[in-house]
Amino acid sequence: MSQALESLRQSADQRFSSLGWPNRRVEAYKYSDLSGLKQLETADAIATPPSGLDALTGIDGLSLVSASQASAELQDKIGSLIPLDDAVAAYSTAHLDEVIVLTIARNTKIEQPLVLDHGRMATGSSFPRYLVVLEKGAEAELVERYAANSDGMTCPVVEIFVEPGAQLKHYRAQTEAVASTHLGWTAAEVGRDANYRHIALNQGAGLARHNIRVTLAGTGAHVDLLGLHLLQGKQSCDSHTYINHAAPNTTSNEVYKSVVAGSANSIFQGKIYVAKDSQKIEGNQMSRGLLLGPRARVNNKPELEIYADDVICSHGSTVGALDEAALFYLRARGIPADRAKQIMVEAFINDVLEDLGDASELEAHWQPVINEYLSAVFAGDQAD
Amino acid sequence: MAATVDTVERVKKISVETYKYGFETDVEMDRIPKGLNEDIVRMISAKKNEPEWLLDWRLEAYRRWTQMEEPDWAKVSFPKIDYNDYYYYAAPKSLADKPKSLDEVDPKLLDTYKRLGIPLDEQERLAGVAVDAVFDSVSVATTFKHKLEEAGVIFMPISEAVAKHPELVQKYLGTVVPTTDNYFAALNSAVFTDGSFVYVPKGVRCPMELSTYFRINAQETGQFERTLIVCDDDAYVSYLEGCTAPMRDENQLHAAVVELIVMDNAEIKYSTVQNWYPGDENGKGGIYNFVTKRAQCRGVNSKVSWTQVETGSAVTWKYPSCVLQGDGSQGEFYSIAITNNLQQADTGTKMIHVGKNTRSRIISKGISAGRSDQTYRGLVKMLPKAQGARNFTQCDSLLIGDRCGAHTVPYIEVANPSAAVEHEATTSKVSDDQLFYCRQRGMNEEKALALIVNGFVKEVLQELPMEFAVEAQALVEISLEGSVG
Amino acid sequence: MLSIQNLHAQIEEEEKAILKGLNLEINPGEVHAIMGPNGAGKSTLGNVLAGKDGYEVTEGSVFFKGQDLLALDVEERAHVGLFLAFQYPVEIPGVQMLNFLRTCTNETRLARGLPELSGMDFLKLARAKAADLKINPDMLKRSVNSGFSGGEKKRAEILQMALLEPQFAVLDETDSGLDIDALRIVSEGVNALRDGKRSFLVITHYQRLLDHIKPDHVHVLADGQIVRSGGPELALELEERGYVDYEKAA
Repeated sequence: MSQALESLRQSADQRFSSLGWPNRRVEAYKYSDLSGLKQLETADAIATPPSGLDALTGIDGLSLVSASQASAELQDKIGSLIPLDDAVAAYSTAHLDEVIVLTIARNTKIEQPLVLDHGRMATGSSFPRYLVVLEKGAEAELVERYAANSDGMTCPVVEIFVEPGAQLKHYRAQTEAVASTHLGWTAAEVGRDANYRHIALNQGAGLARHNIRVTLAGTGAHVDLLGLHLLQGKQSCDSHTYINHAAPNTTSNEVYKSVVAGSANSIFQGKIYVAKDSQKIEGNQMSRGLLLGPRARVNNKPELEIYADDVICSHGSTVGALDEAALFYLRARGIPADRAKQIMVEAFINDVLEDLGDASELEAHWQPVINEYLSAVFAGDQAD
Repeated sequence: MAATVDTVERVKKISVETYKYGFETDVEMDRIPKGLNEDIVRMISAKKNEPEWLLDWRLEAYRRWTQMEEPDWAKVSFPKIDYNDYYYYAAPKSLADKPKSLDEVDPKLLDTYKRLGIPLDEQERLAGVAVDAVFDSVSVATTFKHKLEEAGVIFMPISEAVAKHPELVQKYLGTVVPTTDNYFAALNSAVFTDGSFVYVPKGVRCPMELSTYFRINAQETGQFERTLIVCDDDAYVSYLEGCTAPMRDENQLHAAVVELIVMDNAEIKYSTVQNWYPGDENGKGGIYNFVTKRAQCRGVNSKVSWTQVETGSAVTWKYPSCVLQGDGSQGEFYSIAITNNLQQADTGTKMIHVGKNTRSRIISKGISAGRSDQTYRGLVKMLPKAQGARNFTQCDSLLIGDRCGAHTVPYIEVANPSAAVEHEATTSKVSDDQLFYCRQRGMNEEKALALIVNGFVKEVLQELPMEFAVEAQALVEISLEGSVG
Repeated sequence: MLSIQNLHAQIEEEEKAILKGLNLEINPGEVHAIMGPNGAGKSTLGNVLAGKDGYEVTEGSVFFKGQDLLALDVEERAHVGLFLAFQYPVEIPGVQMLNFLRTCTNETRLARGLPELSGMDFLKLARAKAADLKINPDMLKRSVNSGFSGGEKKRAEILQMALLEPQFAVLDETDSGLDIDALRIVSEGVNALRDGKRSFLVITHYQRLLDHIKPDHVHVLADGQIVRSGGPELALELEERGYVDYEKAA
């Protein structure tokens, strides 16, 4: 490991020692108590190299190297987008080992999705770490998948630079077993007239936390953040998003939807921040929770923090059960209650997915997860 | 933009010039020594001839307060307060012997209220509104006492109620906001001086609006009023408070506690027009307004409606809340907050849904101008037993000028699947299209802005009792006069 | 009454020229129609005359009753008698129509040296004008244009015109979004305000409005200039042939 990365790792280690796992008194973790994670700290760090990396070799315009082979300039970007005062970021970074650096060359469009597929098949902790750089005018589709079949922790960190005029579509699916704990970070900086679209599926892990931080750094930059929580049993899933309109004329659109069965707990905390002098901003956010289980819970904290006046920002948040009138309507047309409910939940979910076009990732990998979730929830085995 | 700079300059000038309540009344004061300790608490209690239980209650609060820390989560910042640098009791000497009637009250005091637009004497008093006038630490006078007594309504300074209705005060005091609820509530419990007590008995619809007018006058003095309103079954009362203070260079402290208790099918409508001195254009002086207001809807189908127009104070920390315990109970919060110059306000509400089919509604309109910072902070909480509960929240912020901030921090916690919460928030500036439209029809920019802003806050203004809506509307316009270049 | 000479205007931010040397003379009592393809600059003309921010006049002059119109603020242009009926009237939530109309009327009266009208006098006047225009007086209680149907919005514009009594009115695509009945009612309102002294500039894409509001002169605006002028027959010709002859050669 280079000197710079080693010192980053060490300072993160020190940061984490003083922070510790946050409890509910830490505002950002108000609804996700991580103070019980102490016992996992000693778990073995296990490497889970993504499968499918081989498929990415030999693609024109794509460079895939480990950090030690990357230029000093690229190495400097590692750790620059995630704040170490966040305990999860500090913890992950303290375990920094291998960093994979993907660079998409200037004005190159890569048709094939860049798939980073992680399956943790043993107890322990894994710390996947990526730096993704889309150079000016580049275009690509990034796919992250996290699965695990045993207890332990997955703590991935992905830092993304979408340089001026570049476009990135980013699919992230987390479908780990409920025994697993997932603590992830996604941080992106979006340059002038660049476009970043992040779509997250959170269906797995007993305790999940996903931090997303997007900085719109150049005028004309745009971000879409779309997310789904599909929860059941005793799962707790927390998406914590932060969109920083750091430049004028930037726009953001955010939609998060949670379907919560059993006694699961869905948490969405999303802040739109508009810096001073960032004029002509449009930022819209919607978070919606659908409660299916008798002890299901939704905790939403949408937030606007605005220091410029020429802005149009809004957020909306709704939490409730399925619409009784619509349910009645469907049943009156002869559809059994459970089927009617399922149809409505599908509609609720599809609302997020429908304008994503014909992405193969959705078809091949997300839809089966969604179907499985729906049949589990509506099979009647959701007593608690 | 030149226009914006000009705007800020003009707003500055006008808001200071238009604080017409900034005068000081020169009366001889009786004060206890500066500082805060157990002896001071004992002295306050002795000044008020309080019973033993109340002194013990105060001392307990004081001890707990010394172990607590000032909350730091609100989005406001101010230099550390030296709580030993205030006077905790200040009363005009002339009131020491409890004047029996207005004829015995120092004319200077009566004149003060007259200048504030709240005449207390028989001929001029506001028709249909009973007023309790609190001057620093004591009540000056309460009007229409007899008429209210006939109806069975108790409306008197809380220190008088402690003497005359100890059983009622002891039964309810601190049951909504416990002494240790928060730092400022604990402080208030230890040193509160006056405030109003209202009891509306079963089945009584209070025949007139009740109103308390708070005035801070003395230098370096904190005001710690305590208001307790109990509305028994099927009763109704509408209560309004107003507040002003002289212009002073030092910051003054105001930490109030208001407790409302509403029984079966009863309703309290509580309105506030808060116009404490906001400080000058450089943020010098002004009131620190740290207030805990909470209502408990204990009875079935009970209802509380908080309406506030907040234009004053240097720093505001205030979240009038409703605990909706009774099945079918309702809570409402209507708020207009305007900040200008260097004012900071962190305000909002909490709606805690405990009972079945409880309803709440939040309409908040914030306007930030100058270099001010304003935050709406709210909590809507649906507890597991809140079957069928509903909330609707609309929270809009308007920005005037590019050096102010507007923030929205709602917490939505739902633990009952049959409950429904709907929250909407927007932040924007006055639309150019609206301004152009009004100007094309012949209005100058200032007039157009006033009109548009008035439209923006209309939904809340119309919740105020008639007698005060006009005054509040004028206050909104004054606060924004000169806001466009 | 209105004299536009060699008017050049651009959108400030984009520095994109929209009007490129427009000339137009309108005499008292005349009704002129300006027709043209989309993007010709029709609405820009209305906005520039009214003084909307975001447009920059780079060349030329506009004189209104001998006065340099371009030197006046938006509201001053209204005071001297220029009225713009908006294509999309702006909604102002919470502001009651009656209050809005009274403020407009009194501000204009004051500027013209007339005394303000009392609340009562104004209410009578507004009700009378509304009745003339067959407008339901309930509209006066609603918020300005909020939740109004397309027809109601346009009728409200005509009501404002009737109250402010301008000497010159620009009707910007007043027919857009109106069904045939609403179009007739709005046109009747406009016609009622034609008194031989008041002038109108009717901006429209379609001829159908001109069946109801008969123009004295018709002009074709294309690419920022008036490229053809004629009588009412020109409108019929455009209706038949469309704007193909005038579309920009792309």
